[in-house]
Amino acid sequence: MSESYNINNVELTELQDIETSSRPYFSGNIDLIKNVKVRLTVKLGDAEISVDELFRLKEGSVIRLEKEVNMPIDIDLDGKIIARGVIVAVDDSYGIKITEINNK
Amino acid sequence: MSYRDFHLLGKTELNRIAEGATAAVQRWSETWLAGRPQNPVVQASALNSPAQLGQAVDASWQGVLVDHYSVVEFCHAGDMTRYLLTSESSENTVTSASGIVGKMTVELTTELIKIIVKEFNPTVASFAHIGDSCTLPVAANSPGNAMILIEINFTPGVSSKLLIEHTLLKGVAPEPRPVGNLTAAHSAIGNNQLHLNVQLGKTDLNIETLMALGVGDVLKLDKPIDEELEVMANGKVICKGYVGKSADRYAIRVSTKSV
Repeated sequence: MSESYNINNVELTELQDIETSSRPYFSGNIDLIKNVKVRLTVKLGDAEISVDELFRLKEGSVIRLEKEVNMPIDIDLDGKIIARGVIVAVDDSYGIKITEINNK
Repeated sequence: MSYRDFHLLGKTELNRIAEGATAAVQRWSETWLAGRPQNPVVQASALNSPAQLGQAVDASWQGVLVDHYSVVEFCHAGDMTRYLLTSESSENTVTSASGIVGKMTVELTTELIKIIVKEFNPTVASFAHIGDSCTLPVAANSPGNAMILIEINFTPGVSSKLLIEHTLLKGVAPEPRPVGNLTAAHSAIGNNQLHLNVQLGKTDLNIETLMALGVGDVLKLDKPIDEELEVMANGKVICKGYVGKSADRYAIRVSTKSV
C-alpha cells in the first residue's frame, strides 16, 4: 500500500511585539521558577598583601584577613550580597546562621 | 649501526650534515632546556640531513632503512662522533627491500628514549605488535650511551637486526645564559599589592527555599570543618590553610602550597 503526500514550503510571517493593555502573564510568579537552583557562596574575607609578603609565605605563615571576627559574613548570590550571617558548625561542616537579610 | 658506519660517509659529507643541522641544534637545545622538546620548526629543518643519512645507512644495513630518523646534529671530532635525536614523537618509517616494514616513533624526554611501534605491515614483517616498545634510560646531566636493538623477522624466516647506538650528549645544551641582576626590579615589584580572598564554602538551593530565607536560618555549606580553606589570588588557588583569628580578625594559617 502506498500513500501520497503533498509537500509544500512553509512561509514564516515576520513577527513584531504588539502593544496591548493586557497584563504580563507571569510577573513575579515565583512558583514557575521555584525549583530553579541557585548557588550561594560565602566568602570568609579578603586580604591585601605585598609581593614581598607573598614571596615570604611558607608553611605556618598566618594571613590576616580584613574581616573582623565580630562582623557578619557576606552571603553572595551572583555577585550580590543577599544576606549576612555568622559562622557555625553544622554537624561536621561549616555553616552560616543568617543574622540579617539584605532587602535593598 | 655503529658510528664507524657513519665514518664511511667521508669528512665532506659529515661537515655538510653537521652544518645543515647546526642552527636547528641551537634552537632545539634551547627548547630542551626549557623542558619543551616539541618544536615543529626545528623538526622540519632537522629532517633534511637525516634523509641522506638514512640512504647512506641503507647500504650498510642490508636493506633496512631508517627514514627520517631525526638526527639533528651529527658531527665528528677526533675519535668522538655524536648525534642527537629531535623532540618526542618523531615518526620513523622502517623500510626493507620488500616494502615498508612499519612505523615507529621515538619519544625523547630528559630521562629516557622510548621507541614505540606504531604501525607494521604484516605481509612484510611479523616482528612487532603495535604498542611494542623499548625504553632506554638516559643518564641525567651526563653524556650517555644507549643501544637499541630491533629485531625484524621478514617472512618467510629471513631476519635482520637493527642496532642503533646512541651517544646522547646532554652536555650539548648551551652554556647557561647569564641572568641579569634583577635586584632593582625585584625590590620594585616587591611593594606591589596583591588581592587575596578566601571562600568559606558554598551551597546550592532552589529559589523557593531562597525566597523563604529569614534571620535565624542556618545554611550548611559544602566545606567540612576539618578541611583546609583555599586562598585565592587572581582566581587561582595559591595555598591552603586552616581558619583561625589574629588580632580580632579572621586569619588563615598556611599549611599547603597549591601552585
